[in-house]
Amino acid sequence: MNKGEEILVKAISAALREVASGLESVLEAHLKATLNKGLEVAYENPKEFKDAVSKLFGEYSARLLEMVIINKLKGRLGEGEEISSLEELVEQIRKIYGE
Amino acid sequence: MKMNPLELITLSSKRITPTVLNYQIGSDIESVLYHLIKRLRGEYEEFVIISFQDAYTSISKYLKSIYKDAPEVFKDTYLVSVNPFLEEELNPDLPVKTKDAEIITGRIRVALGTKSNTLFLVLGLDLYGVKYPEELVIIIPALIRLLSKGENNNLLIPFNIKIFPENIVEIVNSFALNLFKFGVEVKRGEIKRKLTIIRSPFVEYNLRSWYYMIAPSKIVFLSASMEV
Repeated sequence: MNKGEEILVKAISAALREVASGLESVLEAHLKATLNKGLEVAYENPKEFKDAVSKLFGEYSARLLEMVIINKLKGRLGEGEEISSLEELVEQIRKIYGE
Repeated sequence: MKMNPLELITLSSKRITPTVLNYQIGSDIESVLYHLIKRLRGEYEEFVIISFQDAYTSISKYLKSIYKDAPEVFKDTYLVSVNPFLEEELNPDLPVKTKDAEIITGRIRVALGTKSNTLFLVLGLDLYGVKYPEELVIIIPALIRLLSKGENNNLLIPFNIKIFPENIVEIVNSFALNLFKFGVEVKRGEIKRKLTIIRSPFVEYNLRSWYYMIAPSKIVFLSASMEV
């Protein structure tokens, strides 16, 4: 797992523990069953991750989780970065870590 | 009198307002909102949705994929879209692009005036609060005061309380005259959804809980030992 991926996966785990305790294992099982992948899919393909979360939790909850994940990493991305989606967040992480 | 919990929420929201639906992730709050709006829509002259950070787009996309009459239920809506990105495609009646809580409420006040006999649905206030936490303490009281002003209004606010600190929880709790909690429990890897009536005018039901399941055309509620 590269640095950017590791940071994102940790942020997702922290966000899940904070807003949906108990649901992390359910989401991991869902990702495994539907995509045969873990939370790292969020870094590889943010859109695919978001679709999987929406199918499990609903679109509104998925959007809330997305905002909390973005918020968790806000401090690491530098001032003035206006990030509104997981796709933009991953793009920014890739830029920072040169991946 | 024995009431279905959805009927109880509907009647409570008509009797006193605002109604806060404190939902947790995974509680399928979209379906709850669909059934509530379907029941309430015809009872009011106007239907206004105030959507923060594209929340309405998220909900309508989901509901349209599940309920074929969702476009009918949400048609002829006056849409206020705060900080739209995807939602601009819906041509909102009032787009507002700022994080400033006072400007947002000011723009809404000017555009709507004091409405009566109106159903209001405020979506995404929690999404906005995650992004701009310092504005949330200003906008919650201001918006509730503004939208509760007219006669016979019904204000529904889905809001995930769990992600916010105690001061926000206190503000929301102090303004919510009806408070319903839509939670989730995980048992053996499966999600069980649970509704608890925290505060309502039907005091005999307060603090009662039901597990619920989303069926194609209704929500099925199950108390500890019987179906309601």
